[in-house]
Amino acid sequence: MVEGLNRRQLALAAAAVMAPLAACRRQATFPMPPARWVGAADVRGHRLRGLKSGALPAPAVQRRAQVLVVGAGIAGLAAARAFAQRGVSDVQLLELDDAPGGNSRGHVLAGMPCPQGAHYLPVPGPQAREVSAWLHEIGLLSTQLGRTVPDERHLCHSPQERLFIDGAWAEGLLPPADVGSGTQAQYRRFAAAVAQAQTLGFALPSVRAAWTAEHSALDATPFAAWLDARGLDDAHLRWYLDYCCRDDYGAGTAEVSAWAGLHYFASRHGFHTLGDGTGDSTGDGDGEREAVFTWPEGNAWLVQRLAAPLADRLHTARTVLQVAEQRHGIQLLAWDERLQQLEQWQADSVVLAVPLFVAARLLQQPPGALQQAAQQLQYAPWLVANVHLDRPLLDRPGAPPAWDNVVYGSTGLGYVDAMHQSLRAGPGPTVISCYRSLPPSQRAALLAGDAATWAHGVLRDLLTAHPDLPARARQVDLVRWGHGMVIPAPGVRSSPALAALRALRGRVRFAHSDLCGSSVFEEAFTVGHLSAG
Amino acid sequence: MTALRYARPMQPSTPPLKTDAAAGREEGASALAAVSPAEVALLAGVFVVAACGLVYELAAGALASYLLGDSVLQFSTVIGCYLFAMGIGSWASRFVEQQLVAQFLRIELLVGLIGGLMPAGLFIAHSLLPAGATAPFRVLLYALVGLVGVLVGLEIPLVMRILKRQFSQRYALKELVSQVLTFDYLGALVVALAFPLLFVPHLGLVRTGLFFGLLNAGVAVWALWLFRGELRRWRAHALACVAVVAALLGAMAGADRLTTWAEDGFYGQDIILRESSDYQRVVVTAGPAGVRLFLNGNLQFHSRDEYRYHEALVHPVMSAGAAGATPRRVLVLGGGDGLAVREVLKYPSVQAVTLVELDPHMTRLFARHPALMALNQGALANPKVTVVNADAYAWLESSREMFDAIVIDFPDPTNFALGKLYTTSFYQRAEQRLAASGYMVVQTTSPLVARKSFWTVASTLEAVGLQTTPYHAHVPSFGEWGFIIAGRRPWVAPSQLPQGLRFLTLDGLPALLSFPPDMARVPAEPNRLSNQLLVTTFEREWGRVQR
Repeated sequence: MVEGLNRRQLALAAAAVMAPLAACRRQATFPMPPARWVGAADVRGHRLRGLKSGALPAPAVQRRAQVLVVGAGIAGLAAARAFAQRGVSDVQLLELDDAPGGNSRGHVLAGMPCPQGAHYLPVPGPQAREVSAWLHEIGLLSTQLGRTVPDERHLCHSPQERLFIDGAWAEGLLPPADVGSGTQAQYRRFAAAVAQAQTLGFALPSVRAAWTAEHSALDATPFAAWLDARGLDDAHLRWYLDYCCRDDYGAGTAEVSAWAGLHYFASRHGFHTLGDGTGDSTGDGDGEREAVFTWPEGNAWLVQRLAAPLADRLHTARTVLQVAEQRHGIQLLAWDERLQQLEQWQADSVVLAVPLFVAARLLQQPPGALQQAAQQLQYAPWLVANVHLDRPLLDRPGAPPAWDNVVYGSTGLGYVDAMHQSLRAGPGPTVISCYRSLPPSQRAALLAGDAATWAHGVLRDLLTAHPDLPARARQVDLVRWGHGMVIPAPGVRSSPALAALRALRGRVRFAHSDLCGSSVFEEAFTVGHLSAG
Repeated sequence: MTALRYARPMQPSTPPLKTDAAAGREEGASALAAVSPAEVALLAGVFVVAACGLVYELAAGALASYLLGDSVLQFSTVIGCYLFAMGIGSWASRFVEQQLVAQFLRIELLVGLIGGLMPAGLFIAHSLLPAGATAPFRVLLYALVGLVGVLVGLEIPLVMRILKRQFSQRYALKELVSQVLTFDYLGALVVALAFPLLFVPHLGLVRTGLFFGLLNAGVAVWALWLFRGELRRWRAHALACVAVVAALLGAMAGADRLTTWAEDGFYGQDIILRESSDYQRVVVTAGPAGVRLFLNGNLQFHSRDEYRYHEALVHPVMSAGAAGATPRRVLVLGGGDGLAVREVLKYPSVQAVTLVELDPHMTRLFARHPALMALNQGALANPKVTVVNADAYAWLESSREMFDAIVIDFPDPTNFALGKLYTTSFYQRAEQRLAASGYMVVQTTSPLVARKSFWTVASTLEAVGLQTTPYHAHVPSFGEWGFIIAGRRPWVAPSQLPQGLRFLTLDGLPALLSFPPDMARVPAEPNRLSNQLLVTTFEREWGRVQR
């Protein structure tokens, strides 16, 4: 996957990357398990491209709703929930796919639940009020003696993370640094830089922090350039930061803004190196601070609980084709994929909980800010491969198998063991979910490519850590997300167009994490919830 | 193409070497320079013979230590006996006068056969002899050691004489002795290192013996070929070689069945049951001292003192509080051996016992096997007892029943899967199934050996809002062992205990509750699913003991 690497990564970690790559090339031929594409219905979405309004048949069904929500991703589901809470009983939710969830949907492979996309939720901080309130409602959080306590059953169990580096597994994802080495010094300097940035004000969801000129300045600079300017050039540090950005934003440090790069750490727990944490040398404190909720099926567990109260107000397999704002309300055309007929909906108002580039195509008269935003935003394609293993993988020396397992220097983002949370008594068959974010330039190749080739690339990427992976793999189910997540590139978060769309309170409202410039659960949920206000 | 080429190697077919300079050196150097393949082969033979000789001695010593214990005594007597027998062999070699090669060949075959089969034979004999009958075993052991020793003692003198005869023109006696003994001791060194590091770990004792038996037989075959020109009745010798090699190979093929006998040796007693389930290897041994249960090689109980463990585990919670207030519904988690259930059933007030054990194998064994049922007094077949084969965590999550007492008897937290059964999250679920006035008790490893682990469990129970009462008891098979009672109210000491207890008394209870300074409380963080502190602490503390 040399073409999958950008120049920066090559320059930063050339030695570290080339060795495993060379090893991969030597072993590039191995028996491949069957592979297939599953998940997201790209054909339905792409129907919008060539749509001419004149070509549509007459609507077969006429329906009415007080509020329509388009898109049953996290934002749409949160919006529908918020409307219902405010006493709007007639809120109807339309979803293109056969199941709700957007990129938080789940999958089942060989009888084992696994994620198709998003797969964890950090225990929300104080600013994520709406998320916390809902988690209390479903029992994930509870208040004991005045303290908020997460339900441990659903917290990621130990051991959580490990990194394959120099031929062995090390605990945690931060590459280990020798005490007193240059790496350790740079870790400390970056930690100090994050701590200093925190004084500017960062929050998750990001709308909870005031936006200042300093934020704008950070948002105008690429993260990599910001790091270069501070002499933060250690290969280990830069690999880790690049990994974090690819993992959370779908793009590396060269593509995202310095605001986004700092927001990743500053809005949560800061940046800590081993031994510099809470004074506990074993790093036990870190586990508590970075606790995340996770489930075998990923965030589909949350989606199920968010969608269940909607019952028959959730309409799946409805491809919304057109939204027109009229004098007394909204008229919406949706294609019923099951009955293959056109539905016409009348509503007082509509919430477009879809990516902004889709919203721009749906609206007959898109506002200027929406057109601007749709042009400005770039999306990272994602590839998620669920691999069924008939028995556990052999293990290299070092840290034991963890929930999240990452190979240093690899193009992929590692893999997550779907059975990690199962509490079963011994090791057995499992599904590992391998993640990879791709540059937008590979979107066409991802759509056109055949499953076997992409699956081969995924397995090859893990071969250095798991030479027996191809032998253990029984089936590879691939999910492709052509527009997986919005990239918080320089200028995105501070974009006046996004600010205008966030503030919009008419018959047509927008609710999507795109509005906040990064695709994370807390943003989507909050922006969805607030759209009902 | 004649045997002469081998019989008379000292007439070198290679051109004389190095001329004047070589001639100027001392004899030995020139001999070395012109060494022939046959000579090398003969000396390699010495090397192999020496190696084999030492292996039998080591194998006999190791075996005796395994089976009889007291390794210093066993090794010392075996080695002494063996060396003495070798002396007899060396002395007896003077009576071998004719047909040196044929005698050497026979001896090699005999050594290979007897020595090679000795470990296997001793294992079998040990298993067949009635338990505790060490005297006949010792007789056999020393007889075999003596026999092999005599034969090995014959080998080297014969080899020397053959070499002397074959290479008389080349070697002075001093060189011959020096060469042969050098290779003899070299072989001994190699084997002494390889035996414990390579052979026993990889092949096991039985296969190691057979392997070296085959090497001895190989030397015989080689001699058979080397001296094919001068051996009389060559066919008979060849037949003998084939028979010995075949016997050894046959034994090698059946070595797996023999190694199960070897397991008897490891457990030191007769194994009455040996089964592998999906979760673990279950081995039950019986001997004069009693019945023992091993899971994955770890001792779970010894019938000699298990009553101490199970009385201490069960009665403090079952008898807690005022007389007559004993629990009616009891839950036992883990403990598929039914021994805790046996103690629970000593209370007539008990109406129902639910035993949740992961491994159906265990509960089936302890419900059906007569020797094991005798131990738990048929507890698992009692109509009051319901056996559930499920993972305790998942079962607790799904159960809606309430219990007056919960006995938690899991294996120690040696891995992350077991560690999950010692977390706040697990105890929360157990607590939800506990009646308002009920107590639970947790077996909690050794507070002496794994002090921090013990107090970690106490902190964990307290972290879910339970009040704890830690105590400990001495179980000779385990050492000083710990338990923790937890409940919503402080534990109240019993005023009455069931009749017929052998360990627990009302007078003795206060001593169990008092922790001397070497086991006293140390600060410890609660063990959570998200940190699994206990597994690492436990591994560190027990690792220190084992090292």
